[in-house]
Amino acid sequence: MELNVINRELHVENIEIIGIASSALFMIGDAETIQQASTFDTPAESLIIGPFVPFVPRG
Amino acid sequence: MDGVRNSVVQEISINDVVFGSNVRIGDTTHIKAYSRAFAVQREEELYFGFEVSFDDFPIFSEVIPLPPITVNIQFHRYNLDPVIRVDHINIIGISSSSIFHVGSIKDAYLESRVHHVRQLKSRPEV
Repeated sequence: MELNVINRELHVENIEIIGIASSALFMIGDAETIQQASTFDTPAESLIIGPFVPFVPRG
Repeated sequence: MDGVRNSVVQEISINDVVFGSNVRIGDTTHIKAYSRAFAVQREEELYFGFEVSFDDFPIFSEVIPLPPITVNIQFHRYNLDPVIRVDHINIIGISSSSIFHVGSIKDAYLESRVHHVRQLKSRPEV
């Protein structure tokens, strides 16, 4: 596959960001390779209804 | 890495950079960032201090497969304007191994693992 990119003028006046979080990347520039991975686990047993006790490790 | 553009930012304002986050100005060849969080949401404000070890949850150690780059790409860049210009950037917060980078990057790898738990009060049965 051949990919041709022509970068002409790029001028941004203003950027407003509330938050960059959880291994996010915000960059002004060029990059060769960017790889990102994210897991978010909230299984059924993570909803606990009952008295507040310290989290006891399983197993 | 040839044919890379310069980045020109006139003004940056950032409130908070927390939990292993980075603000980098300049070019980078390699950068890796890892974040893991055990997030507990309780209906009442109650803290026990240390509660659990990351080792007890496979999500923090499981292998995340990265798809291999199989297609051979011939990539050509023509930088008719060799400068990226930004006048003003305002960021409130950068958190949990995130990166704000002004300049070019060759290789970047960033990973985030979150285990989220909710603990609610028991309610009298109707």
